[in-house]
Amino acid sequence: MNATAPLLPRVAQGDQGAVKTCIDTYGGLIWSVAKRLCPAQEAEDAVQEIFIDLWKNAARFDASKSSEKTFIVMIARRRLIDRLRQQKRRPEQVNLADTAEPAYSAGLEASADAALAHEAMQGMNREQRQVLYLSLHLGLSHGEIAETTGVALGTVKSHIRRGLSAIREKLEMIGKPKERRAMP
Amino acid sequence: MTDQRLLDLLVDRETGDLDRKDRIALAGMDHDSFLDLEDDMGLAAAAAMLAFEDDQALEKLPAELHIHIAEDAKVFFANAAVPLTAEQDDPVVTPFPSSESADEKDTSSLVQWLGWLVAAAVITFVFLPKEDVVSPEQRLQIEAEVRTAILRDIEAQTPPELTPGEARTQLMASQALEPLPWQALPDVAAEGASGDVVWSADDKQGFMRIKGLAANNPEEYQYQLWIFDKDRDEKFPVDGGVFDIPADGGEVVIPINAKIAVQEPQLYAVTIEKPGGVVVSGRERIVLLAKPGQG
Repeated sequence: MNATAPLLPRVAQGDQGAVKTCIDTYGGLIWSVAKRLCPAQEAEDAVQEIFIDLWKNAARFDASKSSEKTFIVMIARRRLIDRLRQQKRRPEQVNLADTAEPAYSAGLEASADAALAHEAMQGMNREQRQVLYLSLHLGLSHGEIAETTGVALGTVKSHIRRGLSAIREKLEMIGKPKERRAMP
Repeated sequence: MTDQRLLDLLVDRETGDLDRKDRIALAGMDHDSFLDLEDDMGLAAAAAMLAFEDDQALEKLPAELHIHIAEDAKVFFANAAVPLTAEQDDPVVTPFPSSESADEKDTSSLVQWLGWLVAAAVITFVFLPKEDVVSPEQRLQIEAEVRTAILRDIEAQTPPELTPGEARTQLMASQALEPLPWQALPDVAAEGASGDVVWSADDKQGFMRIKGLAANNPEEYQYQLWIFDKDRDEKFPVDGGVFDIPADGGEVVIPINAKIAVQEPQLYAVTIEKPGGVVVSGRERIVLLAKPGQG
């Protein structure tokens, strides 16, 4: 089996083997993210909903725009954020000391997109990185971030908007080498 | 609406922070006109999220949830415009990929290690003092000898690759495991079939030994192992991997590739399935069974 070939185009064709492999390959990642952003008792429902979203959106995956893993995390994120906001609940109590200088590196090996995002964030100041971490990793709302960090709400919004725009530009500017798109 | 305003709204939505007024503003726009931009922003957020992710801290999908997702997929594709089909152009025969990956990783690290050692040896000679008596010819010869010695050393340290049969023997010997004999069921493919299955709960690995099962054409059908685990609903046995029987008629030893953790197998069953295997077996053709306590 070619482990680097994207699965989603085959999933979109209703390929049963690809569906199985997709669950095996990305199930752990989605489960871990859901557990972090959802109350434990709701994480299972959320993961099932995410996979349904994934089957629905598989045909939209474009290997020239992102890696498969990034696309799948986008689908998962959107579902989880929707659930989180509907419940208007924090995912967990945040200890600001733990987020003072968020560590990112372990996930980089598996995704070139993540490496580029990391690179873009390296060019940001510490406060902006922290705000992005609280928003993207822990799923906190802008208001919750302002409350947690003491940074003004407008500044939080500005950090997130500029930060994501910078990451988007980085992803687009670097180009899309084929080898990185083949990664899971 | 300006492009910047649209970007801001999309970022706010991506991070779950659109207020009611902005939601209405966005809803009033032609969605198709900013679909690409919306996805670009979503992918940027996902890439950043992945950058914060610690791969080492990822948990395994719980077994029950895995089964529910597979069941959902079956229902989804049964009603989708494109129904679920057997695997297409990239067939997966499941018993081997994980061990192959491990081998590749080992080989890769070995090559890297060798590279560093050779480089270190070369550097050592490059930085020999000029007044050293070693001539360029001698230097090349020494480098070659160092390289050969390193290769020999690595060869001596590399454990020989075991065949599945040898790995099975080693596993059984190391833990005094008793294999369970297969019972052939009345199916034309299983006439005269025999062999056994062995599983180590400690190592979470096992092997099937099979003889006399009909050779299959992987494009027509494949065999699939199912493991019925203690405390698991018998409707949802663990997928133990898809495999083929070659045409030579000899005995084959096949590593078990359980997709999720198996604690205490209560029954093993081999079924005939579509190419690529299935998520949940219809159990129309069961060819082999093995059950503890029924040797």
